[in-house]
Amino acid sequence: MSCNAVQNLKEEWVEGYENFQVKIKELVEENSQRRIFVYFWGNARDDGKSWCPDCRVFDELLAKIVPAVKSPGILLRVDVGIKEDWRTPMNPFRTDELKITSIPTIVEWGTGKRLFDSDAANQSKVELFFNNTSLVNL
Amino acid sequence: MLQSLRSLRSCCSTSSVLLNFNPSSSSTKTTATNTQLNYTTTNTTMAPITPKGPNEYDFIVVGGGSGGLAASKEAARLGKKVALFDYVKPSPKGTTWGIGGTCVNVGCIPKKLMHQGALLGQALEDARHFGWEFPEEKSHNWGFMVQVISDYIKSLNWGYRVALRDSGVAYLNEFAEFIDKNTIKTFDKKGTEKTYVADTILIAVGGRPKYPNIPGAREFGVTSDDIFTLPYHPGKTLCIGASYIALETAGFLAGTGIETTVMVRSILLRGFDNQLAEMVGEHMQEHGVRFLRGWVPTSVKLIEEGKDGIAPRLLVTAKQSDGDQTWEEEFNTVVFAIGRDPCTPDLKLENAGVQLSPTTGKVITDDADKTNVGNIYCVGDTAENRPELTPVAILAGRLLARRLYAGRKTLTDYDLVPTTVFTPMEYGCIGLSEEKAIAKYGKDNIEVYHSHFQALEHALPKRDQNRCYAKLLCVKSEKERVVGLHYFGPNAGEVTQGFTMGFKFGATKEDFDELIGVHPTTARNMTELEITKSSGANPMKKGCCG
Repeated sequence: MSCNAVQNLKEEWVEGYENFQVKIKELVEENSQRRIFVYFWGNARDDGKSWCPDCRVFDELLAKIVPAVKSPGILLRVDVGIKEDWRTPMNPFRTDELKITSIPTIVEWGTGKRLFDSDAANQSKVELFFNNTSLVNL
Repeated sequence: MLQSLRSLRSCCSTSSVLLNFNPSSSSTKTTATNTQLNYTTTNTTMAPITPKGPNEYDFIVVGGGSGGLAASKEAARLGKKVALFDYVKPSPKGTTWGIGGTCVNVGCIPKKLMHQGALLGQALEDARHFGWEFPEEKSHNWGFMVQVISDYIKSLNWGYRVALRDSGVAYLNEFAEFIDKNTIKTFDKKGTEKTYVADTILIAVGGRPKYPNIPGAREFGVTSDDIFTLPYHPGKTLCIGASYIALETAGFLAGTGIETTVMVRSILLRGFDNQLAEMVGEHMQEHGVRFLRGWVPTSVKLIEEGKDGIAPRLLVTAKQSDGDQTWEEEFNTVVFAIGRDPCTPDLKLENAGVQLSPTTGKVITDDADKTNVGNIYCVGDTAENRPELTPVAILAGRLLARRLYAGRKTLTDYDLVPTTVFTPMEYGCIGLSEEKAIAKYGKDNIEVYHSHFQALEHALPKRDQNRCYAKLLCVKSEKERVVGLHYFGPNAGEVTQGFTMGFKFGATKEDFDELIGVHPTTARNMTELEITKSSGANPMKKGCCG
């Protein structure tokens, strides 16, 4: 994944549930004024791409949309594990409060905004997701 | 690439395939193709219509609440170019919210959730009687409940945004006012002005809570707009009003352990059945809500400002509705629930020539929801003489879009609307109150069957014994056709919804009696009412199954 130096969304990576718990606490403390996006995806294979075909589609959309996002913030990629680990009902990402039921899932932390399944393959909705800064009509 | 992405957004219709089906017409058609920049209509039995320009629409909907969302999505589904405008002006306390209207943000949804929160508190009490053991003290965290409900509502707001993208409706967060019958001018939060034109316009802007004209009301009081996101524990609370909003609010506040008082000018739940209204009030009193009957507030004064998440201290003064006595008492929170005003003044409807009711300020419409101006319609709370209920607005919006764009003729039936008041003991009803039934059919022509009963679930905790109540109002001259159903008990919403089907088919008392009940339930009581008011017999139940 290339990291455009001018990109407003800084990308970070983390692997597994325990590391995610630690990382998200850190990020929330350090970034109270900035937006935090958390993208749950499947472990990259050796060719650098996800084992999950829907995640690969989503990654392509991200590559187009993320560089253009205006608000500063973090995009945290959370690797939920290899396919066998993800497909078990006891995978902690599934059982945790967050209830991630499928990947790719992307949430904006603290806002209730979430995209997954076919919505995550829809460019217009992904754009809405990143560019909609407030759910409140003012 | 960025440029084309932007123009995709501004064109507002990016859904992939729309099916236009029109069952009542002879041609059955077809697919709509969606080009990147233009939106074409899909009715191929007519000559192709000139595509509309960027700010021109077939249908503009002003108001993104229950009625507006339903109408706009349906019209888009039928192939029209639709724009939806929603803008929430902050309450005097500064509260505002996202798309979805009153119901989703500051009405039905948070209300039912908080009511459920209160009921769960009661359930904890009952649980001990079923063998559950846990430490004595229970406490309720108001801030936690506010936060989780608020998060849930935000996910609903988001869900609506995504759904609007799916539907192809152009959603604009701009405040609209009329320039003429086809043109609106809008302002966004930065004050930027835009103009839009449409063939047809729907007004669905709902209403907002009223404040009384007394000193301090706006400065120090709150309303249902604010109570669900109050950033401090309400403390000792006074609810002013006798509406279902006042009673439901007082109900869930008291149910979460808050010291609650209700101040009422005269009767409770005006417009509802008087007997049931009094039962609701009595039950609330027995469960710790203090009622001040026959008083009106005269001022709200600040004793001490609230800060750091602590409620202020307020002094409320009041006088008797019929008398000279005055009164004052200190509270932390004062909630006004004395009625709602339609959001018509700011629309500049005079520019379009739309007629409003001189008494209520609401928009006058005919049976087809049309105003006096041929291309302007109104549904939901803003329309005159309609039940102010979400499902009514949703159906009205949807049917209107079908009448406009699918050649249908079905009108919304505004009679026989079921509803439920979600007070601590719930009250559900369909049709007429006893007063209205007697007024309409004559006292001698109405037979009232009724009964008190006990919910089985209350037997062990020994609460609300014989408190539940049901009555059917029957027209003698029409084979005892049921024109009013009233149920006071748990799960009233679910019970009422089920029996609405019977009303639809003109059920008689005999039809109800011939139903086999589900046992053990409280709904079953509707099928077993024997005692009439006219007989004078005692409607209290003795056994459980007999």
